[in-house]
Amino acid sequence: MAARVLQQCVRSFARPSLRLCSGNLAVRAAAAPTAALHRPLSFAADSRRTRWLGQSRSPSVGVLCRQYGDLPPLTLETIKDRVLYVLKLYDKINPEKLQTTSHFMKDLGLDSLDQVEIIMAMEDEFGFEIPDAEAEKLMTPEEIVQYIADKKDVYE
Amino acid sequence: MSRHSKLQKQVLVLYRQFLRAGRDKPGFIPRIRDEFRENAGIKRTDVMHIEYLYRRGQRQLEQLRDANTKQLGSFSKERS
Repeated sequence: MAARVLQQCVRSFARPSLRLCSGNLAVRAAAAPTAALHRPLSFAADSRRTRWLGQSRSPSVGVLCRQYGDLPPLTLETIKDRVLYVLKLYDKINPEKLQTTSHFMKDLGLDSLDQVEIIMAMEDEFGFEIPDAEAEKLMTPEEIVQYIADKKDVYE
Repeated sequence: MSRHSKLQKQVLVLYRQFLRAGRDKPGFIPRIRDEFRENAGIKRTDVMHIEYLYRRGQRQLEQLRDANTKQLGSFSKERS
C-alpha cells in the first residue's frame, strides 16, 4: 500500500524521468516491506511524510533523493525513563518506593500475576513481543531495561 | 516462590493469553483480573481444583476469542 503511495507521488511530479525512477522504485519497494515489518505505523507515516517533502522540491531532484523518517533513537536513558514511567502508572506500585533495582516480588510486594501484567504493559509501550520464557525472568526494572536494550541493539 | 511449577507456568501463560484476547473488547479485563486474583489463593497442593479451573479457563478463552463475543457486563452485589 505504501509502495503505491510512493509510486503515485513519483508519477505526479516526475513524468519525463519515469523510466529512470521506476527501477529505483522497484528496488525500494522490495526493500521497504522487509524493513517495515517491525514498525508498520512509522512506515505509513514515512510514506506520507516523503510525499509532502517530495512535493516541495523541484521535480528533477525529488526523484533521486528521498528521506525516511523514523522514531527517535533509543538510548539506555530513554528506555529507563519510559520503563519507570509505565511502572509509576501502575496502580499497585507505590511511586515513592520505586527504584531501578527494586524487585517486584521482594521489595514491591507484587505477585506473578502482576508481573505478567507489567511485562504486557512493557510490550505495549515498546511495541514488540516478549516471549513467555524470557518474560518470567524479568524481576526488576533494571533487568527489563537490559533486556530491551539487548533486543533493540542499544549500546552505550 | 522462586521457581514456578509446570502448572503455575501454565496458569501464567493462560493469564497472558486472556489479557491479550480481552484487550480490544470492553469489559473483560476487570473481570479477568478479579477472577484470577480470587483464585490465586488456592493452595499449590490442591491440584484437582487448579486443573479444573484451568480447563474451565481454556474453554472460556475460546468463547472470548470467538468473533461473535462483543462485550461483557457483570452485576456487583450491593454491600449494605
